[in-house]
Amino acid sequence: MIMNNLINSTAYGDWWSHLESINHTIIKVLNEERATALNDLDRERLHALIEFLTESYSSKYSDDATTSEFLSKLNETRLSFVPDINLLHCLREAESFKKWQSRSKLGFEKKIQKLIENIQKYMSSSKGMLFLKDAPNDEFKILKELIEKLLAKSQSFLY
Amino acid sequence: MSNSTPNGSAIITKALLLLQKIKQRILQIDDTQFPTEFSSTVKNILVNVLDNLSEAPKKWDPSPTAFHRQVLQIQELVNHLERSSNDYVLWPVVNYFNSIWLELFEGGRVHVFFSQSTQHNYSIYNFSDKLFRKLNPIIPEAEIQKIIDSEIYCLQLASLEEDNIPLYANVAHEFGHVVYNRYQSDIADIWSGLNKKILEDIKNEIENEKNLQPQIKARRNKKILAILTGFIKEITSDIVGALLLGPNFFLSLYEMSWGFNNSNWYAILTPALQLIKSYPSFNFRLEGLRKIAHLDEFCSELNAYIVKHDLSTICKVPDKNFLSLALSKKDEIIVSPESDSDSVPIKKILDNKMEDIKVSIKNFQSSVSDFLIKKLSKSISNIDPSDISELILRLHQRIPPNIIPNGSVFGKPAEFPSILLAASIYRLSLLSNNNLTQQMDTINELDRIERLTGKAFEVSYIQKEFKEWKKVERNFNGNTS
Repeated sequence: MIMNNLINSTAYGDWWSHLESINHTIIKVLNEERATALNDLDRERLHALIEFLTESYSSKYSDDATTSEFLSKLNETRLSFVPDINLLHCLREAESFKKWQSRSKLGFEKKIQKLIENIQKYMSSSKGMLFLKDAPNDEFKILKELIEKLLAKSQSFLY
Repeated sequence: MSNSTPNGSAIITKALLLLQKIKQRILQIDDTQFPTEFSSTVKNILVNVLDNLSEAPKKWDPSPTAFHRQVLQIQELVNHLERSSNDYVLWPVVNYFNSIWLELFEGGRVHVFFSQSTQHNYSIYNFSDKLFRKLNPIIPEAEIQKIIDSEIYCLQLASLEEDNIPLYANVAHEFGHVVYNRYQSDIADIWSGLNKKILEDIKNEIENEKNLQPQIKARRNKKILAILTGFIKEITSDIVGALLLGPNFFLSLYEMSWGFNNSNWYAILTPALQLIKSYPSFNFRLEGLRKIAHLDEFCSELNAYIVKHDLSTICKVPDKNFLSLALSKKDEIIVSPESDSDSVPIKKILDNKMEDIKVSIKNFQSSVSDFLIKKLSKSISNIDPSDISELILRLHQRIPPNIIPNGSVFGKPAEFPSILLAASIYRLSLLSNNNLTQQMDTINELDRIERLTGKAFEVSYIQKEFKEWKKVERNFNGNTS
């Protein structure tokens, strides 16, 4: 049998689609033949990425949410992903992340925080159109490398 | 359209062609064969979704491969709609379940459509949520919410309808999942009050793990919370099953447990929190249900009637010995898949806390049972043991068990839960007294019981509809005269 990744209907397939849709937006931001601005779907994909990064790279191991709040989250329609991946390792190994802000001598955790903050700043910079010319290129290159690593790992679960 | 993906344009074209074919499939489905009106609602939603999806590449420029995958995944829902047909589902049974649903969720904001599964089991899922998740990577949420504007569930009926009597009661458990969702915040408050210490202990155990990144600790904690939540969802659904269908649900679950290690609890991990599934052990569930369904008292009363009607030689009422559970093995939890690096640590933590978890869930069971009895009071079944003995007698005499003699000429029509219970008890009696030399006789008798019971469901359903029609007609004539 020849494996067709697209037919996997498990949560691993959903995780793959989630990453792939985010990756598509990031590539759009970095594409030389740029569209002028990001549309609503792109904004949602980037918000989803920021949320995922914020939760995954939080320095506290458990949020202070009560059980009731967590149970409400479990009842949400939009899926919350907790993949079995060492995310810190993925970022630590990313070449673009190693080179980024290399002169600032920021610690690893501070660098992650700054990365997330810069993306968030861009996202909230305009209530209207998110223009690609204003996007922080270096930060998006890091995100591209990270997402590509995650995609490669997620693809292995589709078999 | 973005050229970011190699062959992106070609992939989109393939996906759009597939969309066209899927739409043709849907339009060819015969509405007149739908068992209830909500299958039509689902059909309209799916057509609307496909129309929106065909515009999506131009409007939203989604990832071509994600778009193609999600279009392929929508076929699963179309399959379910195709199997929502009178060709596949037995209408009297479906209409009984539908009437239970309408009573449970009156107000009409939550709907259900019925479909036949290819598996030999009943299950329920939130169709609206599933469709949302299939569209989420490729269409903005605000657009999805315009298309999916109602909450619809899909109840999947087991394949081989003719061989389903043992499983019918499970439908009440499936409805229990929807009841859980409806009262989720009240149930969460009940659960929160009971589990503070366990959660604190688990959090400390994870925290004390040396050389483990905070992110991994957080992930494991979330997965454990999801697992514990899964347990209470199943327990809540069991209670609803017992309240709606009495001892029927216990007997159905009991039969499903045959041949398995009934001390195992299960947790199946996935990368999506909401899709993690977990199940308490059969032993734990049955032990709790026994009390909630008042099984021992019911069987004792029924046995008195069986003896009174001189039926002891033909029907042995399940007693404590027959229904005794193998409680000797220690409960443990099986966490899968093993390939998930969290599975072993999570198993270790939950096995250590198993006794505390069981105590906490037992207390929860009692509290949530009281809560549900108040909320579902109109739907709780009240099965009379004397009625069951009469129906068993009819089954033995090869008569459909749809009438209970009450001194009048026509007798009293039997209700669905009573018909089901009489059939279940008589079946179990035959199976428990079965030996190899009589096997063929037992098989033939079981087959006969199932056919008679199926007939009884049909007849009692028609009687019920006739009675309601008569009432409306009388009111109409009363108003016009």
